[in-house]
Amino acid sequence: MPIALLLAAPSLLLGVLATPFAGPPPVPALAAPGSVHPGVGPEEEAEQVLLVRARRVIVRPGTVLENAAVLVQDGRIAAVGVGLEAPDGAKVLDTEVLCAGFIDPWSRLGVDPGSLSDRTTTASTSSVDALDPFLHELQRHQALRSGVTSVRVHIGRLGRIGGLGAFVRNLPESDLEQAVLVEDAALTTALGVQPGQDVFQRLEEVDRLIVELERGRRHREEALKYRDDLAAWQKAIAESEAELEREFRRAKRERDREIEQAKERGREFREKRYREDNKPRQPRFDPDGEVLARVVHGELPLIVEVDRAQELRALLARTEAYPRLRLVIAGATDARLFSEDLARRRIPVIVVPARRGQTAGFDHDELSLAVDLAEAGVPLLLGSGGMDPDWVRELPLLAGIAVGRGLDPDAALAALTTLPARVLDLGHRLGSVERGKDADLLLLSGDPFAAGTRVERVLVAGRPVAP
Amino acid sequence: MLSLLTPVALFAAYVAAPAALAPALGGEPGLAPQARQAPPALVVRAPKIHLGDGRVVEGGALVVSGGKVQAVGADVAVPQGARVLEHDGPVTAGFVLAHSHLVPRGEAFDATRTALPEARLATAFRASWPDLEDALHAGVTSVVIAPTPQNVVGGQAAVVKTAGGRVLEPASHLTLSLSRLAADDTRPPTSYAGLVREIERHLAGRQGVFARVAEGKLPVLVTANDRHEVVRAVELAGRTGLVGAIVGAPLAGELLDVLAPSKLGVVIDAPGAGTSQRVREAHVALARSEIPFALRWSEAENLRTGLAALLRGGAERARLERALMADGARLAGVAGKVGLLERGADADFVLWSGDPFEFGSRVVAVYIDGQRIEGDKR
Repeated sequence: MPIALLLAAPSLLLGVLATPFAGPPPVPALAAPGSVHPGVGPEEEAEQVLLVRARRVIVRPGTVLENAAVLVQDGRIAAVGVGLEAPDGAKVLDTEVLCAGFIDPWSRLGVDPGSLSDRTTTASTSSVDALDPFLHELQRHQALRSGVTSVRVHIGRLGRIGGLGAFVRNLPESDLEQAVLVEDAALTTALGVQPGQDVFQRLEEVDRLIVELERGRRHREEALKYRDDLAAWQKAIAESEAELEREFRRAKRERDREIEQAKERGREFREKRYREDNKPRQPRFDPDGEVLARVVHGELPLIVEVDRAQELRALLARTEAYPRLRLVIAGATDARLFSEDLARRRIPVIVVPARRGQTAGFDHDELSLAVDLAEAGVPLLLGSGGMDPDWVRELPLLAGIAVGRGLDPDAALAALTTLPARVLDLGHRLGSVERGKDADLLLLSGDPFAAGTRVERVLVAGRPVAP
Repeated sequence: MLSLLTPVALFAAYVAAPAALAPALGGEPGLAPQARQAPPALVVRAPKIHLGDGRVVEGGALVVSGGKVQAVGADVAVPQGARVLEHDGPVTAGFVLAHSHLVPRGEAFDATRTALPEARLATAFRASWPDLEDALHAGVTSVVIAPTPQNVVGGQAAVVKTAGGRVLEPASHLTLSLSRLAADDTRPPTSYAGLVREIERHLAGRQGVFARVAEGKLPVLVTANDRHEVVRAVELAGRTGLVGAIVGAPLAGELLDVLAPSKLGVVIDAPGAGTSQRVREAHVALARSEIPFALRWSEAENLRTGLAALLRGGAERARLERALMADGARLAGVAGKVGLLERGADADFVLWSGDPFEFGSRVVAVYIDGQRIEGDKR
């Protein structure tokens, strides 16, 4: 076998020389997600340079610039500051308050009911494949008009593990390719949402989730082991080849002699099997295990929809064994009981203030829950709940009511902007008004959580899209 | 001469002044104040006083005495011996809601008969109804209590105060219903045509309360929700000369051309969180029209949320203030008594911790007929 390799070497060399040299494709100078249509030349977009002047620019919760401006170019924020001059050809907009677009981390826009209740999803089911860009167009538009510029969606709520959720920008055109920012934003699962379960069955669901996490951990271990074994094998091959090159002729003569001898004796000549011939077998391709491995190692967040105290306690206890797991709790009606634990472990909680009135079998007042969790130091996010697409547009209003009930306004703004961006690994692109980030901006007539504030304009990827 | 006349003039002024106040104090004119043990007047000073029709008095004061408003304005005379209360937040007239279902279930619906024109809900009123306190702490001082719309003629509504147990108007409206609930299959009439005929028959007969209704002396509250129900109500009112308001009508804003020629107002539910966008836009269109409208009590949070939703949708602030106070009183039939802070009106007003339309504001205290009730700390 090692000889075969040497004989193949010249042909390999020829093959390499034969391939025409192709470096990486040239990146178009104005490429920015969401700002270049396929087919539309970059020149048409380049002229949309905007300078937005505002009496107050809320850069991030707690940082406000007075009488400042933001320069928007190529779909990105090119500059933020006081005393910016408008470059030639720029369009100037004036407003009272400017802030980052709101993000709904738990939404249903574009997901049809069949996909949402799909029970057959596995960890590698990609929600993007189920998204319908024409569904919920009205709700998408209404959400934009109230300031929600991007959402995270997922399918398979009733399955054992939901699909890989996607992060989608709210673009009025139904172009999914432009709208999807991240295809694998998070893995989602729900505990205790099947109807008619008793507490033991719900706790079994926690067990099953841990089984899946173990599967992911094993998958990664096997993959790493395979990688190490393969490296060792290749090293051994290389060493043998070196040795072989030195003793090639001698080995060849010895082999020929043995063949002769075997022929004389009438026996079959069997090749000696070296250890190097046993190439380690690659583990079977397991897409679910792959995703679960990423989750276990913190490369993807895991969003668990869970409400009741029993499952929540079990979940928090069992996930202590996975220190790199990035857990996010959604729903969390009974989370007050665990707020110390959640705050200590910095586990974000997505509260759904839109759930009042939905029969869930227990009393809940999520607005007060949001206030209490924020006071306890738990990272708070606000979502529309992923059940009713109409509620996405209510999110800013509900945040305002929560502020009225005592939620710190900075925490409320963070719950809608910086925290969801950070939790979903898009903190470098969204969530605040800073240079280099995508220009998803809201032009408001006043403080974002005042009762009478109107959204005057919405910019998504630097383009005015609403009203 | 001057020196002689001056004490006489002063004495005359001294006697005449209490005479001006006497009707409010309930005493005969001409008696000196010391003889009547009148309670001292209360003067409330606040940076902003919302009178109730959209006007706001800045840096002024409100003078109340004997349960009535004596004066309000930027510079009012402080009567002798008055207590002065400095409030650092806004003051508004008490909210007047032109319809509600604050009535406990058992009282609000009579399943045995479909028409109860002589039934008066005021006789069932108790100051201890639990929802009254919720309304009070949302800033509501007067509210119309009405039966539920399952009966074609529900009975006579009343206007009551949310604290103190006073019935402001024991027979304020006759409630009618042209809604699906009244046209159900289980009791006659079982069709809309039947409902209309029933009402017209009563009006033609002019028996009892219908005599006043037919002459337009007693207003009606007609429940109509779907668009066709609203159109039926308007047409019925046109044929029979009814005055009053339509209750419900979430899409009234899409029927402005139908409503405008009639004299009917509209009482809508405050569009809380989750109301459909279509209904919201209809409400904003109604708020921008000339048709008088008022709000209905559902839950405290829905009221505030609904106002915010209307403001965000483009309704004007002054118009919403009118709907809550002055127009609410008008459609409730108690204009002149409540809903507007003016001389002679009941001393019903609310001290707020902040702008009453803002989410974080709460009621610091409510005055009803001059009696103070503390806001609770929630």
